[in-house]
Amino acid sequence: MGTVMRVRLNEAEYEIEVLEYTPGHKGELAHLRANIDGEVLDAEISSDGPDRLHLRFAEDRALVRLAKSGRDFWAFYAGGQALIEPLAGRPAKAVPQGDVTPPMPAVVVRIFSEPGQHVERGDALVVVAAMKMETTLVAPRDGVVSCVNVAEGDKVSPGQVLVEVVPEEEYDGL
Amino acid sequence: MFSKILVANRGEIAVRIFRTCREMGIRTVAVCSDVDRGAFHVGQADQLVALGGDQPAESYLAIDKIIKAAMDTGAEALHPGYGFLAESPELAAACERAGLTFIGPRSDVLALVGDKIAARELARKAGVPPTAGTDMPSDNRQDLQRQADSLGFPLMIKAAAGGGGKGMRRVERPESLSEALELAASEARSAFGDGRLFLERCIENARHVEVQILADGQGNLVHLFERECSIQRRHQKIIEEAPSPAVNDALRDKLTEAALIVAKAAGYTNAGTVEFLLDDRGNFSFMEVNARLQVEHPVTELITGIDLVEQQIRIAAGETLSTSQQEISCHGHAIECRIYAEDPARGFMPSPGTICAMDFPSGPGVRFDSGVRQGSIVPVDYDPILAKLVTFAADRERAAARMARALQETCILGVKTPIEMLIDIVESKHFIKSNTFTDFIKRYFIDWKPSKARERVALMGWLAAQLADQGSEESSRQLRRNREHLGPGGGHRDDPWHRLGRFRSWD
Repeated sequence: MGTVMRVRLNEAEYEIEVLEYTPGHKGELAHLRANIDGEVLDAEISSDGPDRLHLRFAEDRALVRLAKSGRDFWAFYAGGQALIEPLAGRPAKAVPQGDVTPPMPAVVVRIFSEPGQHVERGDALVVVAAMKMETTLVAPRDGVVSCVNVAEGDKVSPGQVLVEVVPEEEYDGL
Repeated sequence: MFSKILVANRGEIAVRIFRTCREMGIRTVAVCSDVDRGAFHVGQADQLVALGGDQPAESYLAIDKIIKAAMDTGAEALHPGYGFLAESPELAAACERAGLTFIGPRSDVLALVGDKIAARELARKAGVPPTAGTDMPSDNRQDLQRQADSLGFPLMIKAAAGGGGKGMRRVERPESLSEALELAASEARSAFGDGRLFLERCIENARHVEVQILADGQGNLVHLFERECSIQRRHQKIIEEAPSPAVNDALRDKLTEAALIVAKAAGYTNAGTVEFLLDDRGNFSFMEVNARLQVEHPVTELITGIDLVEQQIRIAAGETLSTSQQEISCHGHAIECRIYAEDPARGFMPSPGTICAMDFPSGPGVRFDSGVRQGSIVPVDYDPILAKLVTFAADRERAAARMARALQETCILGVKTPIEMLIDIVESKHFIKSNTFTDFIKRYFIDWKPSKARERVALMGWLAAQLADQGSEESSRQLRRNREHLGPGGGHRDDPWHRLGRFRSWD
C-alpha cells in the first residue's frame, strides 16, 4: 500500500495510489479504495471472467474489460475505451525536434521534400493517407531536409521517421 | 430468381448482403484483397475469390477482376454494396456486356444521376427545385470567383463529380474563397480525377432529410418514408434516424411526392435515395440522388419491416414490387450510429489496428451490423467503418435511451472508436430536443473530450486487476510451497481471483 503508480490514458498522465485493498474470498467481494489523481474512489469488485471486472461504487457501477497489449492494456469502461500505459521504468516519449513521423499507421501518398531542401516551419513535407483520409505532415522547424527515408506507396507507422529536418548550421556540417 | 450472387464489397455491408442471400436460399461469392484474406466478410460467403493487391484500385475497384470472378464462379448477379463501385456506370455496363445482372439501376441512369449538375437540372425540369446554386461547374478560378460574388456568402463548394464529402467546403467570407477553391479542387481531382467545382448557397439551420424509394422494372414506384441524417462530421453522416423528428404528415406527403417525381423523371429502377435539404421553415430543396443501398438503410428497414436488400434482389431478378404504397406503413422510431475506427478527440483521425477484444451489444430492439470481430485487422487501405449499431423502439425518446444503453454494451478494443462520444451525443439535451442540424457536431461537440470521471473508473478497474494479479502470483507461490508439503493434488484453489491474472496477450 502507499505506492504511487503513474499511467498515461487518453494523452493525460495520472497518479494513482492504493489506499486500502482486501482481496476477494469465497462469500466476500474484493474491496479497493484508491486515490486516483486526487480523487478518492471506493468500490466493491467482482469478476465474471479472466479479463472482466465489475466495479460497484456507492451510487454507480461499471464493467471494466481489459485486454493486454504488450506492456499496455486496452480498457473498456463505462462506455469509454482507451489504452492504459503504465509509465513505471519507461523513458518519456520524446521525438527529436526535427523528425517527421505520422500520427497513425498510414500509406505515403505524396512527398514534397528532398534532401538539401530549405524549409520553414509549417511547410508541407509529406502527405500520408489512412482510411481514405489524407493528412499533411509539415516541417516541425526551420532548417534543411537532411534525409527522406520513405517512398510513395510505403506503409508507415507512428514513431517511424519519414523525413528529418536539421537546423541550417548542422546541415552545413554534415 | 438467381441461384448465386457475387458481392463486390467488403466489411459490414458484404456481411449484411450475404445474410439476406442466405435467407433467400441464394448461394454467395465473396471477393477480397490480399490484406482482407482473413477478414470477417470472407468467411460469410459460400465461395471466395481472392482479387490480390491491397490498394482499392487493384481489388475492390478492379472491374475486370470482379467480372472475371463472377463469370468463373458462375454467379448470375452482382451486388455492389455502397462505396467502391456501387454507383459506377462502368461496372453496370460491364455487367450488362458480360450477361450478368447488376443489382442496381441501369448504367445510363447511374451516369445521369451521378452527374450532380445533370441531376439538379433533371429535378428542376421535373418541378422539384434544387438548392440555390450556380450550376456552372468550372475548374477556372476567376470564373468561380465571379459566380461566388453573385451568389453571396456563406456558400458551399461542391465537386461536380462529388460524393462522400470529398471536395466539399463551407466558405464564410470572400477572403477565404481562393484558398478553399484550391483545396477543394485538389481533393476532387485526387478523389474523382475531376477537379470541376460548383457553388451552392448555404442554408442556416438546415437538416439533411432523404427519402428511400423502390422502383421495379415494370414502372411501379413506391417510397419508404424519410430518414434524417443531419449529424455529420467532415460532411459524412454519423447518426441517422427514421422518421425525421422535423417532418410532420403534411411535409412528409410533399417530400415523398417530390422524391417519387425525381425518381420517375430519371427512369430510376431498384433501391435509391433522394436527398433534400430542409430549412427551419419547412422548405426543402433537392440535393442529389444516391443510386445505391445507403449505409443507413437499416433504420428504414426497422420502421417499415421491409428488407431492402431482398427487394433489390427481387427487382433485379425482374419481379414486380409485391407491396403497394398503401400497404407500406411506418411504425416506431429507429436510430443508427456508425462506429468508425477513428479518434473523435483528435479531429476524427483514422485509427487502424487490430481488434483485440470485442463484445456485441444485444437485447430488445438492438441490431448490430458488424464487419469485424475479435482478432480482425482494420487496415489503413479502406473506409474506417467497423459496424453500425441500430436501435428500434416505440418512439424517439425510447429509441435514444436504448441507443445509449446498447452503446454502453459495445466493447471494441484495439482501435479508437467514437463510442463514448456517441453516448454523450444521444444523451445530450440538443439531441433529445431534436436540434439536429447539419452543423450539429461543430456547434455542440467540437471540443468534446473523453470524460475524466469515466477514466478514473478505468484506472480503478486496472488497479484492481493488477492487485488481483499480484495476489494470484503470491498465492501460486504459496500453492507451490503447500504442494511441496501436501504432495500431488493438494492445496487446489479455484476462484475468479485466481483466474483473473491470466490476461490474454495480443501482440
